[in-house]
Amino acid sequence: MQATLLLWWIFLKEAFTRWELLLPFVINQMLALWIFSWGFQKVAGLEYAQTLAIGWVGFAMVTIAVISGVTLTIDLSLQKIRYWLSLPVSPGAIVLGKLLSAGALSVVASLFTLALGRALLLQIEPFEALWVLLTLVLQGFTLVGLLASISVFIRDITKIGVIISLIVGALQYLSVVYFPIEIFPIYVRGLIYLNPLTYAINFIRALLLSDRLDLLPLAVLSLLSVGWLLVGWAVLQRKVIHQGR
Amino acid sequence: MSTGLLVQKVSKAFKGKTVLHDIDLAVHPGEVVLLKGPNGSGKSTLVYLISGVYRLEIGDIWLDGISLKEEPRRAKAAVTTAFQEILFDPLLTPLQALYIHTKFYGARWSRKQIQQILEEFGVSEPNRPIFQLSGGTKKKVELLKAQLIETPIYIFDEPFAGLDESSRKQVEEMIRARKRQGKTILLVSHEPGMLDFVDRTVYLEAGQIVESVKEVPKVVVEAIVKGWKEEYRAALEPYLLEVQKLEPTEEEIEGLLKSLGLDKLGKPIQVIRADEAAAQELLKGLGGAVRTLAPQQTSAFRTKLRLAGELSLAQATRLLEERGLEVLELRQV
Repeated sequence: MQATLLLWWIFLKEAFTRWELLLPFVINQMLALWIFSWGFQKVAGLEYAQTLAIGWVGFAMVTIAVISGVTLTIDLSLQKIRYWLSLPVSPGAIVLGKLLSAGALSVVASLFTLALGRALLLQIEPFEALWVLLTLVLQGFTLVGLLASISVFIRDITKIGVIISLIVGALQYLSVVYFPIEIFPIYVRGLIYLNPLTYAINFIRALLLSDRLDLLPLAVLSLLSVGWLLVGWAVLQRKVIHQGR
Repeated sequence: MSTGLLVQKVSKAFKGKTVLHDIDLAVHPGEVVLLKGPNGSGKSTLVYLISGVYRLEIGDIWLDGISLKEEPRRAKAAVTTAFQEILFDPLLTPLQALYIHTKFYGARWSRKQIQQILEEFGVSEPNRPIFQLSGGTKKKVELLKAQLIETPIYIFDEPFAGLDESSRKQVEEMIRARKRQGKTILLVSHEPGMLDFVDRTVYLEAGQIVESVKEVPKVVVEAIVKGWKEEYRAALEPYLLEVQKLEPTEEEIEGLLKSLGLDKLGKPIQVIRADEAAAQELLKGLGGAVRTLAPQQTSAFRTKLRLAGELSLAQATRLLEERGLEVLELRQV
C-alpha cells in the first residue's frame, strides 16, 4: 500500500510540474477571460459576459483534460509502464493513480480560471464557491474518464494532434460554453446533452446568475463522473494488462 | 529463511506465437544460476515475467515462497531486477531515479549516500538527466538498483553488456557479495566464458530449457601431496576435481626400494627407468626375485590434486592434513 501511495504521489507531482502544459494554459486563460469580460461587456452587456465567463470556466478544463488524457495514454504505451509494472504495485493502481492525477490537474486548472473569472466579473459567495468546486471536481473526473476511454483507441501517436483538435472542437462547440441551451434547435440539443460540460455549466450558471440550486444537472454529472471514471479505469487497465504483456 | 525462486510450468505467447514453453526453473538461496541462450530464445521474456512486467497467464512463479499469480504485489517486493535496458524515466537524473526507486522497497538511503555510491560506481554526473548519459552509464544506474535494495532475489539481465573492464569487475563483485549473503540470483547473459560465481548454467533455446549444467567454479586449488589413497576420493568428493599421479623422482624410487629392505642386500641401488615388461626381463636376467611395484599402487609417491570450491588455502591444507595426507605444495590456480 505504501508503494501504491508513493506512486500516486509521484504521478500527482509529475502532473503539476508539466510547465510545457501549464504555462501556455495560464497565459491563454488570462488573456481569454480578460478580453471576453471587457469585450462582451461592451458589446452584449454584463449578463452575457457573465454567462460566457461561466461557460469558459467549464471549458478551461477541457484543454488540460484532453492533453492529460493523451499524455496518460502515451505514458501507458511507452517504456515507463514497464518500470511501473516492475514495482510492487498492481496494474489497476497504476491506472487509477494516473486518472486521479489527471483529474486533479484538470480541477486545479478550472479553479484557476474560476479565480480569474471572479477577479474580473463574477461575484461568488463562499457557499456558492463550494458548490462550484464540487461541480468542477465531478466534471474533471468525467472528462478524464471519457478522454481516457477514447484515447485507448489511438494507435498512432503521430496522429494525436488531429485527435486533440477533433475532441476539443466537439466539446467546445457542441456545448453550452458560448450560449444557453435554449437557443439551439431541438436536434442539436440532443448532441449537446451528450457533452458532460453541459451539466456542469448549466448548474453553475443557475447557481451564480439565478441564485437557483438546480440539483438535476449535478446528479446527472455525478452519475457521468462515476460511470466514465469506471469505464476509463477498466479500459485503460485492460490495455495495460493485455497490450504487449 | 528465503525459499528462492521457483518457476513452474510457465508458458508465454504473444499474439498466438509461443515465446516460452513449459519452463521449469528453480534457483535456491545462495545459488547463482546463469541463463544462457541465443538472441530471441526467450531469456528477457522470462525476466519480464518473473519481475511482473509481463502478465503471467500459464503456470506460476514463486518468489520467496509468494505466488506471483496470487499475490503479485507482495511477490514483486521480493525481487530486484536490473533490466537489460534502463526503465527509469529518462527525464529524471540518476540520483532522483534511484532515490525514488529505493523508497518503493522501504530502503532508507539519503540522497547524499546515493550520490556517493553513484560516484563510487563511476557515475560522475548524477544530476544530469538519464537520457543525456552514455549507454554504459545508464547501465550502471540500472545495476545500482541491486546494490541499494535488499530483497531475497536478484535478477541481472545482461549485466556486463556495454561496461568497461573496471565496471565489470565492480558488478561481478556486487554479485559475489549478494551470493555470500545467501541471496537467490538469476543471471542472464549470452557472453562466452565462465564466471567463477556461477553454480549452474541453464540453456534456453526457442523458448524451452534444453540443458542444465552444474558449473565447476573457476577458483581451483592445486595441491601436491604424499600419501594419497583412493579411498580418500569419496571424502573429498565435493571439492575434488582431478587426481594426477606424478612421475616419481629417482630419490623417491630409491626411498621406496630402501623401505622394502633392498639396500640391505649388500649391493648399491641403481634406479633404471623401464616399462614393466622390460623391468621384469631385466630382473630375471639379474637372477633376482621378480617383484614389480606399480607406482599407482603406492601412496609413497607424490600426487597432484585439483580441488575446487569456495575454499581458502588454509582450509584446503586443513582438509587434506585431516585425512593424513602430507601437503608438499599448495597454490591457488
